[in-house]
Amino acid sequence: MTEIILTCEDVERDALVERSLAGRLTGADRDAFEAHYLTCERCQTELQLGTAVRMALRSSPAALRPRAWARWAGIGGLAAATLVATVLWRAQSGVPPELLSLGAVIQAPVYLGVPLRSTSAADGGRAFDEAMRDYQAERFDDAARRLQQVVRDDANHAPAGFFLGASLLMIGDDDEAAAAFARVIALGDTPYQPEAHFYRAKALLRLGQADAALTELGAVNPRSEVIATQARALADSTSRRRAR
Amino acid sequence: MKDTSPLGPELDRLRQGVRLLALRELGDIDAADEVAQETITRVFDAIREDRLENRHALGAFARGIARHVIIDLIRARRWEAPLDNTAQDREDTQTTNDALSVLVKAEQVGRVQDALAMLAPGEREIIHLSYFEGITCQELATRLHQPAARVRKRKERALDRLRRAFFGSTGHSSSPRPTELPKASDDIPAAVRHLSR
Repeated sequence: MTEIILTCEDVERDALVERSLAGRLTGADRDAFEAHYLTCERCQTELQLGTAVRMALRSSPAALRPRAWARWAGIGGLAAATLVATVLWRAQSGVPPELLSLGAVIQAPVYLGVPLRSTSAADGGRAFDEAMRDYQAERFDDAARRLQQVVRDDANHAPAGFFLGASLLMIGDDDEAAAAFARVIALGDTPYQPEAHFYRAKALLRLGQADAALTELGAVNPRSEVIATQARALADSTSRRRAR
Repeated sequence: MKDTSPLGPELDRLRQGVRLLALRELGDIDAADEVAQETITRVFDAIREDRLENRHALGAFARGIARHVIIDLIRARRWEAPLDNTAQDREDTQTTNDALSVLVKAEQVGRVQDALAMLAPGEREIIHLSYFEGITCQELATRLHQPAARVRKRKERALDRLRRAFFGSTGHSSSPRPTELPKASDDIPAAVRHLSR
């Protein structure tokens, strides 16, 4: 097997540090980048710088992230109110790094492409399918744009709402992710409700709202065994780090 | 006494690199140290036994070992850990993209945040799109309807300021330098004999 040996110029040209941190580096590119940075001090440092930049951007007032809310400004009254409240809060307070790390998501919620979690609106149609193709290919920005349209057309489409929240979470648009998950929760008893609580808690942690995150985690239905276990673990970690 | 042979600094870099890789996979600094130690030991043995044919492929070679060590560690933890800890471990492993945040100091984040505030809005947008959507300068140029060379220059300028803020007053060279791999002709066994463990 031929190993791809990268240089720092390759890493810079192909934005491998940025793509890696954004969770968009897969397959041979990821293998080659990891093999490179294992022996490259400069790229190791760039990974840490990139992490600091992501943390700083997340904890910055939304005014410093122009597209993050300009892009989704048309969402509607409830979301806009949530957004404004969050922006005001964040303008006054930085987010502790330990909460940001608890809000990190290693892998986007899995979409299997089969109606395992079907609801009455789950068939969604072509727009939803196209959005989910983007989602599965980790083109979360494109997926979010398409899912936004699906939700506009059908506000009760729980899968679209849930994966809209997930896509927004993956591109770091935490305010809007939290709002999207809140809309899924407001739909009531759907198969997506427990995970919507869990991932909304993740978004709230990134926003520095530990108390609200704990409330969401406490709302996960204990009958949803797997997600409830994860929720309890995250709640424990959140409580411990908040107490420090 | 610190080793000054060509392999010593290289193994130091490798140790740090494996630590970052493991931290990103496991989200746990103690486990990352454990993986780094085990991987370096195995790499060291492989070099000593002349099993590394191409020294330029040290990164790929070490990555393969590190991946095995990480998987072994995850398996062992799942087998041995009490049930309540397993749930915690599962949660901790879900902290990849920003798992390195434990290595970043709050004051560094604060300085970077201040530097971000000083950037032009267009530069901030480029940084935001780069680090959250992971897109290249070429893709940025298409997205922003600007020439690629201009986008690249603006990104470099913005990153340079963020780097300076990140490193504080000590400064840091922002110019890219190639990876400093040792020459293939280096005598590995001889270097290993001088390496202090």
